[in-house]
Parts: sequence; structure tokens; C-alpha cells
Amino acid sequence: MKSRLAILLFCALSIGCSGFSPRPISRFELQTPRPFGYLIGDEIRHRVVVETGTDMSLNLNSVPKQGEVNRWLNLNRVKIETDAETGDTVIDLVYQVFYAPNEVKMLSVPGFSLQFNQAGKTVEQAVPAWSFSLSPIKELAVRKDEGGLNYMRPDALPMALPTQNQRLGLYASLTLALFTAGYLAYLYGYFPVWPKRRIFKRAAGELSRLSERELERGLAVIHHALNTLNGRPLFKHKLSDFYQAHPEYQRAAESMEWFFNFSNQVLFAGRQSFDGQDWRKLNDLCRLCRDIECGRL
Amino acid sequence: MRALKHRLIWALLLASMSLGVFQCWSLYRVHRENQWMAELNEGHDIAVDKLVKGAPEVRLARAAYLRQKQRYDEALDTLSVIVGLGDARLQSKSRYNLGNLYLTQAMVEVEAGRINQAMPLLTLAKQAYRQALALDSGFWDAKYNLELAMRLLPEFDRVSPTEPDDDAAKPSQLWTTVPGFPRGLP
Repeated sequence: MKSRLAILLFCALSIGCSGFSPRPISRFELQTPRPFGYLIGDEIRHRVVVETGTDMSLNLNSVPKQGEVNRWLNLNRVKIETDAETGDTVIDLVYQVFYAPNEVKMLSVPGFSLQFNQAGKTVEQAVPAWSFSLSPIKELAVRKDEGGLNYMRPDALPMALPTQNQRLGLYASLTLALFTAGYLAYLYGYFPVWPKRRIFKRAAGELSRLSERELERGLAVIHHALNTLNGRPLFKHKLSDFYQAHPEYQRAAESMEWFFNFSNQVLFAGRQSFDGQDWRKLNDLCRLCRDIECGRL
Repeated sequence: MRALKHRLIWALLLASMSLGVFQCWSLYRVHRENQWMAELNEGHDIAVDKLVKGAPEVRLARAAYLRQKQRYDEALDTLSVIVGLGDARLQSKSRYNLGNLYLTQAMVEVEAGRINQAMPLLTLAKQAYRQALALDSGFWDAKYNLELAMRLLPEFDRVSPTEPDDDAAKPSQLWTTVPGFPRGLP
């Protein structure tokens, strides 16, 4: 009776203790595609999923290497992903089969053994061989072409070179050029619908048609241009307000000062003597204002 | 600042116009190359100097033309230049055409009874088809012609799920097979 009790106690302890030592590989799965209907040159994708403890590491040398597995099987791609937190390892293998069967044939992707290192010890997990059937493409009978040679598929001709990128680039560049040119045309006052951008353009045109002797007329042209830009008549004592409203014309402040002084002398003080220098200065002021109007300055 | 902005607008205009001119030129060049390929496909040769700056596709088309005209050496030279050029699809095609070139020559040799000359050509053809299929596993013509080449130069196998066989061994460098189709099949 005592001996039976001792045996029972031993068994119970053994079973109980076994629960405290977890299996090193908690999950192993070989995910495979359909095992039939393959042809020469087809790719076969396998995925190996292994769940281990985080203290285990995969021995990379135990994973099949990319390249020729045997005479008719190539391993084209190997991708290993290991999750350091969970210890999961996923291995993707892409095989390619180069076998020319005369009839439907059963073949097998060879198995291999994965090795994991755990505290100096090696734990192995076998990946089983995987069988599949391969079919021929070509008929067995000899088929000849017009030249008397065995029939073969003709050369692959290149596709016509695509022009989408060039067309897209052309449309994009033309659109950009069009918008930029339009904006420049706006700045240069080529659009009659924006008369404010054409004030000094028109003034320069009128000045060019006048002679030096028509200086008074020239002064009136510039006054008219400045008044139009200002929205109301512009006088010398209102220049600071004008510069506040149109700060870009501050660059022409010196010439404007001269213009208003000169204009006062001619139009109100009765100055009669002017020379070519004054006419040039007037034209220079118009050009300067035109440059500012266009945004060149 | 306004002056800088103004210059930048001009620069943008010039750049976009230059790009437009360049794209026009590229478009013209592509159209011209497509025209050359169309001529080659219709069986008309083009001047060799056109190939020098042409896309690899033009050379591929010319190699196909040369093989059609049985100018095998010139076709081989042309394909050798482009075999590593272009994207995977083009490389796959050039390798396939290379395989076709070797296979055609091998079949001519087999028909003439020159087996020793045919064997290395068939091996080269199979290698080229394998490379084409490695780049594009859905290349049906390459599959068909590889199977044809493998029937011409069979690699004897004793594959069986039950018995470990020589198929697991790497291919031997020795000529152990005789190329040609078995006659008298149904």
C-alpha cells in the first residue's frame, strides 16, 4: 500500500513539475500553396512560422541559402523576419522549379532542419519535404515549323517605348511657362483689363512721341501718370502719403523731388530756359517709374 | 527684393521653356525609336549608327530581325550588348531571345547530325531561358521553349518521392545525354 502511494506521489510530482518547463518551440507551421498544377518555371512560395521563447535565436546557417537547391529546383528568395519581443520567426522561401516532365509528375521540395540556439544548447525543428505535381506544357509529338525545325515560340519583340512621362513633362512645363508668361505680361502691363499696370508704359509711349521743345507737355504727361496712380492729383507736399500708399516708388524719391521742383518752376514760376539735360531727367524718371511698375526694381 | 522676385520669375519662365524644349526633343526621340522598331519588326533593316544612341529596345528589335535573317553572329553580338540593360522585363526578353538564338542554332546542328556542336548550344539556351524565367516567372514563351530545349537535351531523372535519387545532386558537367526528340512516338 505504501509503495503504491509512493509511486502515485512520484507520478503526480513528475506531471506537476513538467508543467514548469515550457516547450522551447511553442508553435511550428509550414504554410504551403496548392500541391498540384505547376508548370516549368513556376514559383512556389513557402512560409515557415515558428514561435519560440525570446531567449532563443535562429541559427541563420540552418536556413537554406539562395541559389540552386538541386538540378531542377532553385531557391530564388529567402526572407527572414524575427520579432524580438514575441520571439516569432517567419521565413519566406520562394522556390522556382525547372523540370520538364513528359507527363504529370510528382516532385518534392526537400525538407531541412532549422536550428535555434538557447543558452548554449541547440534546439532543432524539422521542416518536412513538400510534394507537389508538375505538368508538361508541350505535347509529346514532334511539331515542325515551315523551316522543318522543331516548332518553338518566336522571339519576344520589345513593346513600343512609352511616351507618357515625356508628354506629362511637356504639359507640365508648358503650363508652367504659360502661367509665368501670363504673370510677366500682367506685370509689364500687356493686359488692357488692368490699366493700373500700364500707367507709365503709356506715359513712356507718349513721351517718346514728344520732342524736347514740348517739355511742358512732357511734364503734364508725367503729372497725369502720377495722378492716375495716386487716384487723385498728387502734389509735392503729399508725396509722403504717396510713398506710404506706394512704398515701391520710394526708390524714385530723388527724381520725384526734382520733378516737382522743376515742374513748379516751369508751370508756376514761368521758367523758360530748359536744356536737353532736363528732358533726359524727365525721361529717366518715366523709365524709373516704369521699371518700378513692372517690378524690375 | 522685388527685383530678385522679378528675376526669379524670368528664370522660372526660362527654365520651364527649356524643360518644354527638352521634353519635346525626348518625345521626338522616343517616336523616332518606335518608328525604327516598327521598321525592324516589318523586316526592314536600319542603319547601325542609329543603334549607338538608341534605347536597348531598338537593339532587341534588331537582334530579332537578325535572327529572322539567320545572321546569328550579329544577333548574338547585339544581344550581348543589352543583356544586362533595362528593367527586369526587358532583361527577361533579351535573355529569352538569347535562348532562342542558341536553340535555333542547336536545332540546325541537330538536324545536320552535328551532335557535339548542338550540346553546348542547348545548354546555353537552357541557361538563358532559366535566367529569363527567374526574372519573370510568368513568361509563357520562355517556359515553352525551355521545355523544348530540355526535351532536346534531356536531363535524365529518376525522381520519385520514395527513392532518393540523383536529382538531388547538382548537375554534372559531363555530357551524358544525346540531344534530339525520340522518334516513333504516337
